[in-house]
Amino acid sequence: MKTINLIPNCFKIIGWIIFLPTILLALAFLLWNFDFGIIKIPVLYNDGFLFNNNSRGFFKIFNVEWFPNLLSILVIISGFFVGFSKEKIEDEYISHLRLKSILWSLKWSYLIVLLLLISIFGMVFFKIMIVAIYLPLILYIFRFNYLLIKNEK
Amino acid sequence: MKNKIKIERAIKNITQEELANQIGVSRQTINAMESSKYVPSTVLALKIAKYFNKNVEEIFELEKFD
Repeated sequence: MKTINLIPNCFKIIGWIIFLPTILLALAFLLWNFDFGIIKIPVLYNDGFLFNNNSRGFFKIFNVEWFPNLLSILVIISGFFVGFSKEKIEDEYISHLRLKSILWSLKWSYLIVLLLLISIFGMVFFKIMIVAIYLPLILYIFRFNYLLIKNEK
Repeated sequence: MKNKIKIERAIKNITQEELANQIGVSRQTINAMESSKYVPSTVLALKIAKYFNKNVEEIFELEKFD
């Protein structure tokens, strides 16, 4: 039976090992904002910030807060590994649960964003929007695994 | 859709796990079908019928609201 295109099952365990600690660290970072310093890296395009836009343009050196950036990259890569790797037996019912979870997470992500758009204003809004970027992937992973566990019984 | 997978399985005296292995699906799939939470694709329905040596209609049956 043909199922959807996914990466091999071995990525799943690697994904989980990186995903869970990264999510916890990211939550801790959002709450307490640790400062791990800045590194200079070449970037494709820099648009500057409100009070610091002197080096605008392509191929600039930019001061990057490495810790939150690294966390973001890790959340996406490990989330990809966990969410888009095959189950041990990936059959039509598992695919069905997968697609159902994606629909569920997309629906809830945007409902949450909608709710935030009309209820939260100021700087905290931007902070929450950063979380919203990762929300569809994260909600999908938790929903799908919840459904899998529920069906074990 | 109603199905008689559980009954057929009892007649053959095999577990969900064994049936799943024979047909090449996960145990969750057999479980979901037996508890009427999932309607299998035509391919899977045919495979199950073939395994039990029956016609599809003898195992799967439409319900009033289908």
